[in-house]
Amino acid sequence: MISKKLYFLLLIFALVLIALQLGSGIWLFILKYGLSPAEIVLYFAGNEAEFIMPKSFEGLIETAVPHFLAISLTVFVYAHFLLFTKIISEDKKWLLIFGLFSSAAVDIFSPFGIIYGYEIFAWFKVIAFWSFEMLMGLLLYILFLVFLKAQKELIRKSRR
Amino acid sequence: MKFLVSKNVHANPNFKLLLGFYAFLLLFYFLGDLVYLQHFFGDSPASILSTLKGNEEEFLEPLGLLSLLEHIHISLFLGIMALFTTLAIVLRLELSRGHKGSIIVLSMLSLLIASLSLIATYFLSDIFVYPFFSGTIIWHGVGVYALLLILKELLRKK
Repeated sequence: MISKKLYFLLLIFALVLIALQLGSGIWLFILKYGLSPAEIVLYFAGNEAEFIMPKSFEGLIETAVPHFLAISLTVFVYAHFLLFTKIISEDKKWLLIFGLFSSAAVDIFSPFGIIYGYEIFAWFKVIAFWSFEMLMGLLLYILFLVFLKAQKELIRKSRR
Repeated sequence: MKFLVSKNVHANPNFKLLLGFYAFLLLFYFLGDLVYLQHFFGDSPASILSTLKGNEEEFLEPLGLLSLLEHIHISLFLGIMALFTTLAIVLRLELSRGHKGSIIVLSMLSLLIASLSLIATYFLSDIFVYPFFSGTIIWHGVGVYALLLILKELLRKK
């Protein structure tokens, strides 16, 4: 028999650690690209007057490829716990999962649009990045509530 | 947590083969990561400080914040996934609850402390290099220990 308490312990640690991982991602984003779409365009498309080289297709692929795997894996691993809960409706679960994957995809693909001259993709990147971070935050918050509730239930049952 | 098809690691020969090879190759991740960290930061608290803050005598430039954050971002992700999957298998082993609990707390907490201490060493004080150094060794060491327990259980005839 596998102890549910140990399960929850492992899951709580996993939630805290992935929250730290998200924090490092936000910090990196702000430090590297900045907060505004104009700064993002400058970072990717470069500027001759300021001697900033534009990013190459190969350079973008180097960042995009590991992110496709890492983000998909993270969302898959953490969001699958949602399927065992009843804290939100099935429609809301669908929306959350769809939102997470689609915002991640837009975030990763947008820089390619920017280097080919479509500055509108800088807006897409900003909106997609912050949407993804907020949705991940929401997912972790929901899971934390579920685990906390289940843990309390376990303690109540063991006292009876 | 439905990561594994069965709660019994001896459920069928192919399941054992899958878990066995996974544990065996993941051992090389934990050991290889230590070798990588030794190359990146050095093998003592003093050399870690030299890498992070530079060393005039050795003409070493301090590590940029961007490089440090990129390192944390990647290594934390790999550490979480490696420990999370390893510990999901550990939960299925025939060990006492206290033993399993110690493995979970020690490894996950050390990973958390090591990651936070690295940032604290860079921004706050050199003293945090010690929890980073010991935390890193502990979570890698406990990871290896957990994988060896998994392999031992799988090789045991049932």
